[in-house]
Amino acid sequence: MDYLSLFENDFLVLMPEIFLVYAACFLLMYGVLVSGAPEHAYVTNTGFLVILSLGLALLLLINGPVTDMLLMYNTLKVDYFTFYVQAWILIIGIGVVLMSFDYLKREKMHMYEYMVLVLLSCTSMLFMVASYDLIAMYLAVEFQSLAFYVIAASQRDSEFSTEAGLKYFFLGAFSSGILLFGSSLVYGYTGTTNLSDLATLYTGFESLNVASGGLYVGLMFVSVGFLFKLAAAPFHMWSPDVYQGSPTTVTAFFALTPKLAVLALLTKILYVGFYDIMGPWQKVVMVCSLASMVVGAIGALGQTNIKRLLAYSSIGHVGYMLMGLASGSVEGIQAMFVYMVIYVAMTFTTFCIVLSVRTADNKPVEYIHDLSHMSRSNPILAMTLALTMFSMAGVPPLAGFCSKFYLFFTALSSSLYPLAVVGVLSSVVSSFYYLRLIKTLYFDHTNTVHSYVSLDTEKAWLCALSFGVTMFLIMYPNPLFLASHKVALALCALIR
Amino acid sequence: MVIRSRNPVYSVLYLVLVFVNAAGLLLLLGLDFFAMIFLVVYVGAIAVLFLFVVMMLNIKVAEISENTLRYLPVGGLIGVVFLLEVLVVVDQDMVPALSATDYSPYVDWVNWSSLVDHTSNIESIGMLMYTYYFYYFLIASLILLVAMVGAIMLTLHKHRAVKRQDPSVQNAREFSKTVQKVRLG
Repeated sequence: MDYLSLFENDFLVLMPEIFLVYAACFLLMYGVLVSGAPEHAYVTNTGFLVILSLGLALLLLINGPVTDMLLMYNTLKVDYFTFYVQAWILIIGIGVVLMSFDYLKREKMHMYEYMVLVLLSCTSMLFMVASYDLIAMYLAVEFQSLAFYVIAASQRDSEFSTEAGLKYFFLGAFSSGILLFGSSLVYGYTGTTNLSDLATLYTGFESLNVASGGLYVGLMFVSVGFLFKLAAAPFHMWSPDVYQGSPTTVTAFFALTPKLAVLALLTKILYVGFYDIMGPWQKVVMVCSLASMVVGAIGALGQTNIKRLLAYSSIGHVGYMLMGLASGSVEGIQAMFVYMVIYVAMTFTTFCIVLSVRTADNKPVEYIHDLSHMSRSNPILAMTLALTMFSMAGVPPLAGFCSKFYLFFTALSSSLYPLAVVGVLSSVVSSFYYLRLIKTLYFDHTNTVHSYVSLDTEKAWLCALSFGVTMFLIMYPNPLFLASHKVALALCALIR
Repeated sequence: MVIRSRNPVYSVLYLVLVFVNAAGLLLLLGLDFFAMIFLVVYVGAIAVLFLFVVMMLNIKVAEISENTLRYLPVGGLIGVVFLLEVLVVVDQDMVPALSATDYSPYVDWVNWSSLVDHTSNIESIGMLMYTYYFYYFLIASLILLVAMVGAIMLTLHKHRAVKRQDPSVQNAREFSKTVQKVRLG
């Protein structure tokens, strides 16, 4: 039997991923052959090639011939949901590479592999989002996290970075183990790993009164594994350390893409595979959402390090996003994706600004008080940061308010009152530290002297674009809302 | 022999032997794929890791030469208990209850499984792995690629201070001129 004919059309649909894998192999060869000496020019060169290949993959994705298909013998599924998330992953990948040039140059990290690993992890996340089977899911998650461990440790002369890499590696391996154990339990109790088979199997499951504790334990383990990867609250211990230790561009990458990809995959698994046994997982997600919002708000209060502050802030944001997931409705998913896009925009702006400020001895800023005087030395940048912080806190005319409002609204409409109440309260608490940052920018008078390097072109563009989204989304939010509604529908249409 | 041998390197080698024996037991149970995986994982990865660790630790042989006979009472007791347990198990399972021929009213059963076209575990895994599920195989290869790139990136230092071999120079050396006798005085 000619098995290749079975997969004849699959390669056509998988074109972006295949292209990215080839591009990564080619760039590795290119890097080995061309870059003899450690010089920054090679890194920039490889970086632009990576941007080129990510852009081409985006074009391939947009112009793909098939919009809805099960492929690779039911292990992958492509639809509008994956299209949307994959497009965002590629865009964020391009953004992160653009952000990195200047930083890598200043930090003397002359490694073209960094760029290739960003490319490879983007590829892995494309696979991750598309996976439709527990084994495919696990393999893609492992692929992604392996690339992440390496780039977390990529600043070899800093012990913080090594520590971050090691911590991330151990806890990541731990969570992968939990994930795998959960999947094997699910497989053991059902005999299938395919999500649509699981969905078929669970139809009307809760009314059957079948004793299946092991299955619930498996489901719990799978969700906990993913929540570990997301750094949601009881499993968030690693994230401030990893965020602090990794090079700042890598921190930005960690704050942006895995949140999107892992949350998308978790949503897919819970909504497609396990929707009929929603009771057990909804409790887990609710508890994690509550805990993340509270930890994100309270934990950040005492932080003086900017990156740790941003880590706690991202834990809080994950809590809000999980609120949408816990609501279990189409509107919840829609609100979650709206929130995610706005979160991406705000995080891009923040990290661009944090990357562009350096202390007097040309080190990257570490502490919040390093940002004082900024309103005088670079008023526009300070204004941008202040407005982004307002947006993160959820002050009305900005995008952050829009997304939060929508989330609370859906939580209320699906009777998750405790979540909505705690969400509003923790949002009030968290606005304290966002406002404190603004106070530092405008009103603190310290004697420290700082050198503010002007933004390079790439970062300036990124910053302007993402800030534009934050600022003016309220004027014309329809495209975003419609697209995320379509995503939610595409996801929920899988539930038969 | 793992715990008895004086030299830790020998112990690790005996440990490898134990793993091979376990793999043999698995083979006898008919778990051929597991046996192979057991060998690959335990001998290929874990035992070699142990070997490296032992070689790096620089343990002196003399340290271990203590009197091992003093562990005999406790160890012997546990050993006897285990032996008895094994005997009990053997007594229960291995004795055939009654031979099948005594019950003539039953219809002769057919061993259907022997009539089925038989493929071994490894064969069927291979047939699935390289055809329907080749996607998993490819992703696993990509994971290995990332692991390799990561290891190289984190450990290879391209720096002036790092001494490195130049393969072309190394290959171009003449063997006859490499070691030379120098007459002193």
